[in-house]
Amino acid sequence: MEDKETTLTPEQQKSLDAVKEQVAQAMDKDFVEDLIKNNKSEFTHKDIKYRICKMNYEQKQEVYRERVKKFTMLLRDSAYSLEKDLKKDYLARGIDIDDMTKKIQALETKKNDLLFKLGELLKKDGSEQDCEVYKKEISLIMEDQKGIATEKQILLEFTLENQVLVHMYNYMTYVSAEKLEGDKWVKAYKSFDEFAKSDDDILISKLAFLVTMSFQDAV
Amino acid sequence: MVKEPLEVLRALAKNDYYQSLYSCAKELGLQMFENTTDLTKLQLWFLSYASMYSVISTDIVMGECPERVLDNTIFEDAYMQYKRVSSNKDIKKKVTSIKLPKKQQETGTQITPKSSWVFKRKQKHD
Repeated sequence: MEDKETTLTPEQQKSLDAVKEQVAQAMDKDFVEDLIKNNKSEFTHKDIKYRICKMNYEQKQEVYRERVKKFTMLLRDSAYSLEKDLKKDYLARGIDIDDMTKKIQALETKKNDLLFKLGELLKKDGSEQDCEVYKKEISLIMEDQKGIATEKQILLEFTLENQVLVHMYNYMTYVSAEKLEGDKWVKAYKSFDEFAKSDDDILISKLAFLVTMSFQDAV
Repeated sequence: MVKEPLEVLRALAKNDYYQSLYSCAKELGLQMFENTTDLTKLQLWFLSYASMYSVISTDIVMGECPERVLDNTIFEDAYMQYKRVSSNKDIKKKVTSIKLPKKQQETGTQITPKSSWVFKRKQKHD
């Protein structure tokens, strides 16, 4: 097992737990079960029916313009760095992001190797103890992988590219979210400002999840 | 962010109701979702998990693997990884075990096989 060189600070862990809790609340069994019944992407939240509808050409263009606008704006702002520049800065402080990626890949190979061995053992109905040893080892590898991936994500959170991506997903959520009023589907948010100021995090998480599922390829 | 919903999806695909529905859909052509085309990504993932659990359940019934494979997700993934890798190895073995005629092996040239047809001359009748 490789040593854990990268660990989260208590604050980072706390905020990560809060996000996990929020996602867990939003992604309950009923919500996911409702989503697989059909391809309408509809769900009910606080007695109001919401949906994510496919973007038309005009809406896609609107999102694209917003993306370019945000990118250009952040590029002129010296407070934001491009990913490659931030990686260099981290490297100067002794944090190698590329090495983290390599570590994650190496752990994946090791995990697959152990999974194969455990599978072989299970097929031969091997001893419970041996299976448990493999299981523990695989769990540790998965935890390591998650730890490194989360830290990498946190370190690269403030890159210009990531900020643009987050903004674009938010904008796509605003553009494609609709709610049922009477028998008519209307825009869930009148403006991007209204969307940005919304304090219903669970609703936003549900809508954002659907957007991620629907438009991942568009990005 | 995508990890947790996938865990929920996996648990759903494993449950008895959806497993029965999946096998009925496969054998009797029963419709699984309200839509038959334009499946969402979530529906495709769900089908892939349902298929995985169907394979494991069939193997358990056939005595190919013990029931404890379904004890936890690591055991399930391990069994599927073993199945996938070993079936790939089997295919490779089969391909390499096909023996070519000696000459073809040495030169790599195709040999036209001799015809096994027996041509008989038409007998002349006086």
